Amino acid sequence: MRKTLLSLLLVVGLLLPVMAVNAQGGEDFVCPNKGGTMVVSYGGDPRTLSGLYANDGNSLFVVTFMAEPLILGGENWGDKIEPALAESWEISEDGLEYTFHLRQGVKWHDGEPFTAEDVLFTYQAVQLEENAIDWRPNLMQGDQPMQFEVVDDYTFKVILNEPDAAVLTSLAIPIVPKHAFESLNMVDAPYNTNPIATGPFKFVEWKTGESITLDANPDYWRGAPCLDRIVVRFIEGATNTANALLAGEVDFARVDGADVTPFQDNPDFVLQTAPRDLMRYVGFNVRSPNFSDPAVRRALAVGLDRQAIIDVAAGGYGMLADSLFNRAVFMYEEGRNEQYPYDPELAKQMLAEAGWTDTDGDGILDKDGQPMHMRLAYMGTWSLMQAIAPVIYDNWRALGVDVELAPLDEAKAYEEIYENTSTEKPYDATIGGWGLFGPEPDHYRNYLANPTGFFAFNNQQIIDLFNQGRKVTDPQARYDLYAEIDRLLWEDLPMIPLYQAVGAWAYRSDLNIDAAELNGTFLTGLKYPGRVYFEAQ
Amino acid sequence: MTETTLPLALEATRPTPQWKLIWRQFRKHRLALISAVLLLLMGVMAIFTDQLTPYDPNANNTAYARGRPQPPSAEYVFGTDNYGRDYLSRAMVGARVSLFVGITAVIFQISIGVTIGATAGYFGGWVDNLLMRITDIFLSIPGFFLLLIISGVFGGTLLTLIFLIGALNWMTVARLVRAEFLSLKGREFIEAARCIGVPGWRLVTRHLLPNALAPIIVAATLSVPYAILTESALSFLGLGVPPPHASLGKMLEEAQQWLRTAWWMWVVPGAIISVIVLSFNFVGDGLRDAFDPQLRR
Amino acid sequence: MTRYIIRRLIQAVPLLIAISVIVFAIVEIAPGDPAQMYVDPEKGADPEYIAQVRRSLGLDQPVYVRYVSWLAKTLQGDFGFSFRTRRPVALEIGDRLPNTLLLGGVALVMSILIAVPIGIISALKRYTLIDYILSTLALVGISVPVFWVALVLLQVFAIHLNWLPGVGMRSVRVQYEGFEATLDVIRHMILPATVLSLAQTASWSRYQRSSLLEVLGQDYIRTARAKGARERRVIGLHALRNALIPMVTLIGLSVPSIVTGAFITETIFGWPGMGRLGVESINGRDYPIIMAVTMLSAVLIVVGNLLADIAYAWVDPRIRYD
Repeated sequence: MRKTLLSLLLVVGLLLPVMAVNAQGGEDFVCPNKGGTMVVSYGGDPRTLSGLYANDGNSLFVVTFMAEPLILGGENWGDKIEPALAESWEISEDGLEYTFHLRQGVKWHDGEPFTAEDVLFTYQAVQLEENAIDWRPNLMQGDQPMQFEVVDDYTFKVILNEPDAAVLTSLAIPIVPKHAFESLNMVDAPYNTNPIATGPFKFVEWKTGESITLDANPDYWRGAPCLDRIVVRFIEGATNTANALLAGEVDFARVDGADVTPFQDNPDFVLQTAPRDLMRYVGFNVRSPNFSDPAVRRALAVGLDRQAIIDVAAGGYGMLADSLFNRAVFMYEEGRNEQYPYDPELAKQMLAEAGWTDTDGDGILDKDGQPMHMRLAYMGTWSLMQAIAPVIYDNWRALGVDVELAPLDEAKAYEEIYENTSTEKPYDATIGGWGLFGPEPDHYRNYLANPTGFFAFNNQQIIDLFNQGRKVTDPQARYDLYAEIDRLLWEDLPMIPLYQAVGAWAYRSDLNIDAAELNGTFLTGLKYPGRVYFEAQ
Repeated sequence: MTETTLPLALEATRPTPQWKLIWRQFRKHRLALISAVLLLLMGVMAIFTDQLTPYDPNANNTAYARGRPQPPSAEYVFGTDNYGRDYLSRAMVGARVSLFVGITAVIFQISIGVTIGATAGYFGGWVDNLLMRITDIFLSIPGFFLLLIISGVFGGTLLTLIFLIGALNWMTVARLVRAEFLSLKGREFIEAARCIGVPGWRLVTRHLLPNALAPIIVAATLSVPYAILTESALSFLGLGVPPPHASLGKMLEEAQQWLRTAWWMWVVPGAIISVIVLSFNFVGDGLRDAFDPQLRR
Repeated sequence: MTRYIIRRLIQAVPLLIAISVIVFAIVEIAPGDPAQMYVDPEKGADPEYIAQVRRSLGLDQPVYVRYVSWLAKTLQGDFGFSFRTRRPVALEIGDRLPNTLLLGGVALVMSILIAVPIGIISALKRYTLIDYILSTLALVGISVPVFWVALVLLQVFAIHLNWLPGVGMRSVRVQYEGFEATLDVIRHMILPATVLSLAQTASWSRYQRSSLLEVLGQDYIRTARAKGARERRVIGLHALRNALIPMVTLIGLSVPSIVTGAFITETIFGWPGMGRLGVESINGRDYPIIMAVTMLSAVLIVVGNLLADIAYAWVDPRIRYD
């Protein structure tokens, strides 16, 4: 059962990019059936409805139905660089000028035309410090802001101070309409609760604590959506969501862990899976003397039953990682790196070869009189971490590692791990999970080529390669360079990637979402929500 | 009225000791008696939990469970959870935590309540006034929400939880003790004791408190359920006892996602909580009846 | 009477101020940083961004300045802005409070309608089988965890039988109008209201039973009986009227437990009320909302107590106020 599920996941994972390519350019999609209301659910009330401020799941979920960036492929906006509001773009020889040709005839939800002025306004608002917009670092190069230029209504130029190969994904920020704001300062703009955008669905009503209603945008440039309406219903908790689906109160939602079971082999529902850009890992503090040796880290990887973690923590919905990079990253290739098998005996042997044996018979490995103690810190309030920790504890204890679990409360976790910008880490290892989205590997630089990152990892060769990667624009050269990084990291193993999360979506069986393309890199799970339709009765 | 004949009757027969009367009355309440026995058994079990649990309550058996709770079997009488941890052992540890929280929180709350109530009732005057205003303030605090806030933002440990439950629920006892003291103060035997020069401290501990003991015991017994239910509700909302401890509320929280597929996950802890709480309520009821001389028939 | 009410109201002021200090102090000494909720743990944080957020939330000022300005604003009905949504807190709560009052009110009425008859029957049939059954049931009712009952009811009625909706307050697929809309809300209310009223019903029926028993043992009842009044008249006219008096107080005093119940019940049933808002705001460290919800709950409790006293004084002519 577990095997078939896993191979199914792998197939889905492999097929997705292919399917997406086939569907590209399919902008002449015709709805087989029109009409109907789809009820979807996600968490609680959004914090904001502005695409610029949305940085939490609840807000992003709603915004993704309404707003669009110039290009897809940035954080929360898909796994590939693809045209959206910009039809095409050119890069100057020196890699410093990006010229975007905007789609013509696109209308805002209120009927006003979309132009380059809106793009300029959006990017300037993001750069404005007082706005406290999370995207701001995207449009800064160090301390220097990127420069923008409106060439004409449909041509927009971005001028860089130094070449940056990752700029396209940085620019994938949802565009807001200039005419909906009084000034660039938008902290408390009415827009934040009453948004106007260009996407397939437009905002109608927000009943706090209950739901948000979105109506089809008949003038949408990819073609009018098939559905009349989408209602986003706020339901907290995976179990409550599953209950609402089963009770017929929600039509489409992501289900999690144990709550997937009732939808398996259920004729009333379709269950589909897709990888999500979320990696779970157990990372080392590589400056900690016990774990500074890559051979020890590799041995611990071999001694960890990561499949058991997937089963326990993710209900089987995860893909065993064979890279520190997510599958959406452009140079990821399955099988490039040789998987570390789960083999406790081999692990013990590898540890012994690295000089770690139990010389004093106390059950704990030691080397040069030093016992192998490990303080394993994680955010104890995060249920996922709670689920992963016991397995690691069990497995590594069995190898003779003196694991000490340190579940931290939120404040402590921020202090020790997430906001700790020193190279001194008060832990030997930490369990975590990150969402690094889209095809761009440069996002990993902060964690893997940064001595103040979670792992205090400071490998000059890898840092150099990452820095080079930003400047190379030739696709093949870039590919080779990051493939090399991938290989090196897998060997050095500053963190053991456990698994990449797989999302499972359950929906009513008379709902057809094939053309809408289930895609886990979008928070909604739908690449083209406008193409969801109800099958005719 | 039989006042005149009473002393004669007392002389004729040796009075039955007070506790015997109480016991006689308590015995009549069948359910209370059964509950008391049950609670005693649970108490013994709680003391010897470490020796009695068939498995280590925190030991995983992932190879056995493979991420799915396993139903009761010969090996695992109450089944296992999704980590393959023995559910019977966890339930035993959980019951111990619940009992511990319930009883210690109540002891703490009774201590505060008695101290404040006794002080107010004994001294009266402005002391009484001040203490009763403070009691009013505490009575108006939305206690459960405050508990939620504090354990939410500070992160609860077992001790903070006990402290908070105690600190937010002493008011009823304080009022009770105060009222009892006020009514006792005017009685002849206290006046008499005062006249022969019994010091204040002795007066309180030897004469006033023992006479107010019955309602205090009843209130304490009936407060334990509240403390246990509060702990479980907090745990259920994800804010109670932190991960290393298994409490019954925590187990119910974990069981939430297995409602449909693994009935033992929620039936076991839910039933145990209910039985413990019900037992305390029965015993409390029984004690109240037993202490009430009007009911002695 | 008016003077009594005014005096009670004045007495409530220092009470509420004391509560406000407690609440503010808790929020103040809370570890961690509300600015953290603007940071996704999965992504890590940029310290400069956090500093920016702190400034924009006004967290860089000293404690007493913030307390005084908070209190002054609160008194004017300005609860500030939610950290999370940046919407006015008054608006956030204004949206939810009526839903909580509706659910709480319905649960209250349900409790009275069920508890009083049960209590009466129990008392009149004292020490019979029916009394034992009802009393035991009542005790079970206060002994089972509320959330456990909620989960079981949800499982049975909303999912297995699919008779009742288990989430929210309104259907969203179809938007009903007029009478149908009311009906729709009622259907959504059945499960949460039942759960919310359960513990109340159980404990009130116990009180009703003992209060009627106590009255039945009073001299004037014996007198009435001795006079030869018919049993129905004795109970209906004399006993019940007096036995209901303590119930009136009880209802006012039960406001805290209804508020408590709301936090749990609303969370489980996705009811868009103040309780769920409170729980969400704790998880999100949304302090302006936390403080407002606490203050409002305290006000509800104070008002409940006040109403109980007034009602008691009004029903029972023996009570004097001066």
